[in-house]
Amino acid sequence: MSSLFLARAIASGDDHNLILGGGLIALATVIAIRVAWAGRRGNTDMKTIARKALSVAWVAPALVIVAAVGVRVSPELNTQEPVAANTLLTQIDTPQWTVEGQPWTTTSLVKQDETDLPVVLTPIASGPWSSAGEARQDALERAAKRLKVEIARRYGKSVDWDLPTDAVEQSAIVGQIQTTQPHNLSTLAPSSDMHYCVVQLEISEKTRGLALNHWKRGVGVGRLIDVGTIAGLLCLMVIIAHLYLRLDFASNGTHRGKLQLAAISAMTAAGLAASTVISA
Amino acid sequence: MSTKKFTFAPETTPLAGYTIKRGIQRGGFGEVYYAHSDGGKEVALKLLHSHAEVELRGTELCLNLKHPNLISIHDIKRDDDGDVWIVMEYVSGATLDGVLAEEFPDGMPTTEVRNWLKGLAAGVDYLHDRGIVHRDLKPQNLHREAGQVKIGDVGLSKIITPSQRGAQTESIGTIYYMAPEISRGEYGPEIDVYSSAAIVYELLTGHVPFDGETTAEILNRHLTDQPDLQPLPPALRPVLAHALAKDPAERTANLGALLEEFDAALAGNPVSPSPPPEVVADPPSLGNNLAQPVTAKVISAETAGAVSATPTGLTSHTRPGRPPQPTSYDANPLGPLSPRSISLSRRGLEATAAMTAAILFSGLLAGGGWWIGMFDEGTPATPLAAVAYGLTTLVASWAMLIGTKAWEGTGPESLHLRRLSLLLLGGGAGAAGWWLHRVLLIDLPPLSETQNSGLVDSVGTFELVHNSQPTLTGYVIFFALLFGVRRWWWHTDSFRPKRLRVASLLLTLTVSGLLGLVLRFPLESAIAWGVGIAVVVQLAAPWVAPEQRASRVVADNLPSPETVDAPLNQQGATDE
Repeated sequence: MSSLFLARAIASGDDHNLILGGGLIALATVIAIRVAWAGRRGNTDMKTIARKALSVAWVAPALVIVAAVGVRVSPELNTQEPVAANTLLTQIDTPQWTVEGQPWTTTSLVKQDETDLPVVLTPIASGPWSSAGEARQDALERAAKRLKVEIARRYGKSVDWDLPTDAVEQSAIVGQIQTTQPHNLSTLAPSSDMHYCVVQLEISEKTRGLALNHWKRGVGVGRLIDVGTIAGLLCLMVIIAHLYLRLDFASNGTHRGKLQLAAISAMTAAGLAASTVISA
Repeated sequence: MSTKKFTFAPETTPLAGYTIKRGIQRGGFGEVYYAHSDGGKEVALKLLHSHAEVELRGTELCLNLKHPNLISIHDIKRDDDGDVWIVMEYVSGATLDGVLAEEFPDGMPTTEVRNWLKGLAAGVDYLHDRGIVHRDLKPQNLHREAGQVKIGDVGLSKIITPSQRGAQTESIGTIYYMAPEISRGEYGPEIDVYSSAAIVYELLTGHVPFDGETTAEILNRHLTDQPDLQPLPPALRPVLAHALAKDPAERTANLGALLEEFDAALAGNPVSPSPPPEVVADPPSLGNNLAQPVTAKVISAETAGAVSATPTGLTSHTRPGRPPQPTSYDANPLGPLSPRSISLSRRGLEATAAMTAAILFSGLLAGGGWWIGMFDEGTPATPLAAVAYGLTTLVASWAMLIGTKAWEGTGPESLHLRRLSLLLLGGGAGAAGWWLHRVLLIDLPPLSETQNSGLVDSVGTFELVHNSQPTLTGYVIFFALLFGVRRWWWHTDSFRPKRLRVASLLLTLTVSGLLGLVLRFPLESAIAWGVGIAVVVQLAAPWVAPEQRASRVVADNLPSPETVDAPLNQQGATDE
């Protein structure tokens, strides 16, 4: 597992993580060698040591199979550190329209819920549209995007996932207002009234939970399958290793070659099955 | 007369060039026949049934040895079926075992003992001078023909060089005469000194120095008890105490020296006076960190059958007139810090068995937690939280089992390295837990009110908590300390006091809670992981009952139970 983090550190170019991870792995390797050396029971005969090492050689290709499956699912399991809200918010085009007599359309309000957690009511405005329905849909889509930003701020960026606007409207929009304003479309076209919509989006633990539930439905299940597949492969490898050692003990090593072949065959089959599951 | 059947009847010729006349002995390694060669020479033919590789390895080494006190090996042959036969010098005289049983059931005169010891010392020292350790000295292997002591059954001999003294993977020999260091996989020439001293003790007293109802009991007594020297002649007590020392380094150097000390003691001029025998509470092989001594009868009638020894094989050694043997004993039980030899493959077998069981127990723990609503405090409460908890517990348990099993049997010297490796593994498990929770977007339960500020909020520039959730650093440090603070080897060692210790769970609960408070790790999660890991590793790790531990020490090494259980007194007593 630590190698995964080392790979991530290398990919991200994070020197601190790289040095720390590399150092820890080096230390762990030294300790592993120390343990193996202590366990050799005085045997310094390299042939014997090599023969013993070969007796568990099948573990290497088995690990390669697990790693190959891991690499295949890694894009889906990619997580990044949470990023500052300001950074994310600049990625959203948020026009502002002032509706007379409605100060909430330009100002965010901060309240507290029953558990004293902050509740932010923020205005989200649509762009100019030729119909009220289009403007409303645009505002809701922007609100959904804003909620997804909130998830990314809390949990890190994720792959694309859907947050239905109707769900947002039902659970996270506490107010909305339609307006029209004259708009010069071009020098050739006469001035025309365009429709705008401003919605008031609630950002709170409740609405964050709503978005998270949709994330879980859209991405979480897939990730669970990916994680479960890797965990299943690792569990299978442990079980096969145990069966291999038990049978090798029982047969005094006389069928070691066949057992190794059987073990690697089982892991290969499991790897293929895992790939099929992931592809599906 | 034995009722045991031999494979070949008299006058058959299973091996070309030799005609079998009668069967002599059946044992763990095969059958011995008295036979004539086609030219009329009397020979002993040994047919190897099992452990042929071990037997041959030793025998080949001894093919060209020539010494008047060693039974000569003429050749090694294979018959048409591929079975291996060893052609040996035939010795018609009685074995020491027979002599002792029939003529001296209460012990021999010292002059007679000296004669046997002299021949034994000459033959064994000859082997040792050539780097060979006999490894199976016992009265059944000592013969006398025309006044000449002959050492037989060199099949177990093994070339020992200084670098290979610990290289053996099989401990073989006969349990009554087995040196304590064999349980640690050490096979230096000192084991022959110990065996010879045990034989001398038996010759003088009529009974072996350590007896018991089961293999486990006898092994444990070799490891822990001091021999009762009272039945010995006073002058010889220091000599035998020296030769039967538990620590090979403190033992008489060789059999020549033993003979010298024996002679000097009888002459009233002790050569190397040994300290008087005292009961040593903690023999060097066992360390000082053992659990409470067992004062009750450790091997009960019920458990006696659980170990590989059979009472039949052991009681056949009882001689008429021998003093009654104790049926209970006080001994320090083998514990988690008892040094013992465990092969890497055995470690691997036990670790993978425990890791396999940990899959089941982690699953049950997570499922049970979900069922009782343990994860309702998460954000939001979903089965994913149970999955993340279960997988993190499993990964941590695996790391724990690997880290502790790797050091099992290495004794107290390795404690610092154990802790360091557990710290590292704990850090890795914490990183895995953090990654799992990020991938599945699981929030841990919120921090408790008492955790608004912890003693440690950050390490350097690394925050431990962000948005009320532990960061990667928080996870890594919490798990690393959880792994490093407790003595987890007491949870996973096969020789731990109990399979599951509630007191240990409570202590782990306390420690993990304190760590949660100090590091601002969500308290419920900290305790759930601490206790969960402790439960899983204790339930999953193999556990050996105290009364079976001594036999377990050598169980991995014994080729088969018959090596120690084979009837011991059959030499020359069986005709078909």
